[in-house]
Amino acid sequence: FTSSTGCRLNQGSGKPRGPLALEEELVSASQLEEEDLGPDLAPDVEEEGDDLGDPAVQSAVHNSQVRGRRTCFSQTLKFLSQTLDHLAPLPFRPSLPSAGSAARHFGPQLPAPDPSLLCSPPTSWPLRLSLRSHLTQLHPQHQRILKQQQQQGRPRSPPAKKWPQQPDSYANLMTQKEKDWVVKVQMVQLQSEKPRLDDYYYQEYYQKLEKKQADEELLGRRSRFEALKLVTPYIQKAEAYESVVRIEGSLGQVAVSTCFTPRRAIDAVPHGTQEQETAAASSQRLWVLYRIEKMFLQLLEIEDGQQEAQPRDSEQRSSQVEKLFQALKAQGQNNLEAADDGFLQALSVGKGKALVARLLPFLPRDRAVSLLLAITRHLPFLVKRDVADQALQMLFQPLSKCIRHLTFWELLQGLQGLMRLPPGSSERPITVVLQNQFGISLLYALLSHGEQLVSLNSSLKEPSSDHSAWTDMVVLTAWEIAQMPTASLAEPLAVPSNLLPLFCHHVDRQLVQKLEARMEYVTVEIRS
Amino acid sequence: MLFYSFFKSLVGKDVVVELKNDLSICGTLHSVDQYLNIKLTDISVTDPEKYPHMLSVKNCFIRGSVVRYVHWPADEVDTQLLQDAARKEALQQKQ
Repeated sequence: FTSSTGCRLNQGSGKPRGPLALEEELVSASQLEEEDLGPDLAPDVEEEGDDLGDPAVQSAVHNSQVRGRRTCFSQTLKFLSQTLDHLAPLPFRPSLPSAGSAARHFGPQLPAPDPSLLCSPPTSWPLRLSLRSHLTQLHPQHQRILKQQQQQGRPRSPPAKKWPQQPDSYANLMTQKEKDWVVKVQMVQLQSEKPRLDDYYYQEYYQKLEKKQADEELLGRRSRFEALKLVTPYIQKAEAYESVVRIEGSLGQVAVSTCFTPRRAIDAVPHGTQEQETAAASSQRLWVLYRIEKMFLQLLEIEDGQQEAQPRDSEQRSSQVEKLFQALKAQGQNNLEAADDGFLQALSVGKGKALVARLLPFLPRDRAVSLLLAITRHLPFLVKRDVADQALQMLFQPLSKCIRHLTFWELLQGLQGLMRLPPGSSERPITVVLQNQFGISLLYALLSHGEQLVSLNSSLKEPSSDHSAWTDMVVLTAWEIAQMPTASLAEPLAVPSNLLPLFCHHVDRQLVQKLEARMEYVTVEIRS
Repeated sequence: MLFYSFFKSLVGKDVVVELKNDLSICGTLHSVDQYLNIKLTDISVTDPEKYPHMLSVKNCFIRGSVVRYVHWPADEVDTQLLQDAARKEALQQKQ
C-alpha cells in the first residue's frame, strides 16, 4: 500500500487509495488557506509498510493531522502547486512563504495527483464522488465545510473493500499520463470564463454561506478564520484555437481538420435587421410570407396556362385568377383589421409587390380597379413601408395600364383619398406622396388621365360637384407641388405631357412658373 | 438541377470562385456539369499574389465540392426568375 496522499509518490497498481487520498485531492486543488494533511505525512505513511490497512493509514493521518494542522499546509501547497503545474498551469500562486525544503524533498519524486483514484472510487464516499478531480476547484467555503466535517470525525462509512490479492490483468492499461489526459479533457469542458453564470447556484450558495458566517463572526461567535482572500478560481482559459491553419508555402488553407479545428465551410452569419421585432410581429411577418408563397404557386400556374395559350381553358383560368385575388384579400390570422389589410400586408413585403405586379395584367377590370384604389387610399402607408425594399416601382407599369381604364368617378375617389386630412395630423397624405418616386409618378398618371377624360368628354366640363371636386384637386396638387422645396420633390418615373397645361389652365401665372421650375419641363404641349 | 440550369446561363461570364481553402480564383466560366464542377478559363488569383503557384495556370477545373462561394455581377442574374425556379423545384419535390 503506497502513498495515500493526493500526490502519488509511487506509480503502481490501480488500487484505490481510500477516502483519505480523495480528500487530499480536494485539498490539492484548493485555495490558499486550506488546511490539509500535508504530504510530509506521506513518508510516515509509506514507512508503515506494505499493507492494505486503510484504518491504520487513516488513524495515522488523523493523528498527524491534528498535530500538523497549520504548520505543514504551506509546504504542502507549494508542493502541490508544483505538481499541478505539471499538469495544468493554474492561474493563482499561493502567496505563502515558500518552504523550499519541503519542495526539494519531494522534488525528484514528483508524481501527479492520481486521477486513477477516481476511476475506481470507493463507493463509500458519495460526497467525494461529486468532486471530480484534482482540477476541480472548490469554493473556499465548500472546502472549509468539507474539512470541518472530516475533522469532526463524521462517521466514516465502512472502509473501502479490500481488493483481491491476485494480480489484476487489467492493470496498467493506461499510463499515468494517459489517465491525466483523459481527465484533463473532461475538466477542460467544465471550466468556464464566467463562473458566475455557468455555475451560478454553487457560487451563490457558498457566498451566501460565507456571508452568513461572517455575520455570525461579527456577532461574536468564535472567529475561526482570519480574513481570507477569496481568489477567483475559474479563470483557466482554454487556449483559443486557431480556426484557420496556415502553413507557409501552401495553397490556401491546409486540409487539416481536428475536433478543435474543423474545416470552416462558410461564414454564414445572419445579419440581424435593425428593427427589433417582437415575437408577435415576427410570427405575423412569417405568416404573411407564407401566404405570399402559396399565392405565388397559384400565380405560376396561371402564367404557365397562359403560355400554353389554350383558349378553352380561359374559364378555368379566370376562376384561378379569382381564387388568387380572394386569397390576396384574405386575412388569415387576425380578422380584426380593416378590409384592405390582407392586401396591404402582402404589399408591405417586396415579394408581395412582385406578386401583385404580375397578377395585375390577369385581373378583370373591376378587380384591378379595386386594387388600384386600395393602393391610392393607403399610399402614404405603403410608401413608408417601402423604405427598405424600394420595390414599389415595379408596380408602376401595371398600375398605369390599369389607370387608363378608370372612370372619372373612380379617379376622383382615388385622388380624394390623397387630399383628405387624416385625423390627428396636419399633413395631407399628398405631401408624403410627392416625396416618393412611385407616389409622384402615380399621382401624375392619375392627373394626366383625369385631364384626358375631361378633355375628351365635354359633359364633364359642365359645372357639377364632380367637376368642382376635380378642379379643387388639381389646384391643391399644384399648390402642394409649388410649396415643396425642389430638393425633396421626387423625380417621377414618367411625366405625362398634358400635366403642365392642365395646371396652367387652373392656376395663376406665378404658380405656373414655380411648377415649371419644379417639373423641369423642356417642351410644353399646347392644348388645343 | 436548379443550380445547374442557373449556372448554364452564366457560361461565358466572368465569375470569382472562392474555395473552401480560402483561395479565390477569377475567371471566365467555361462550363459546368451536374455536380457543379466548374471549368474556368483565363484565370487569375484575385487576392494578393501570395499564391504564386497559380501564375502559369490559364485554365482550371474545380471540383464542385470544394467551392464555397461563386461571385458574379448582380445584373447578370434575374432574381425573380431564380425565385420562380426555386418555387417550381420545391413544388416538384413535394409531389
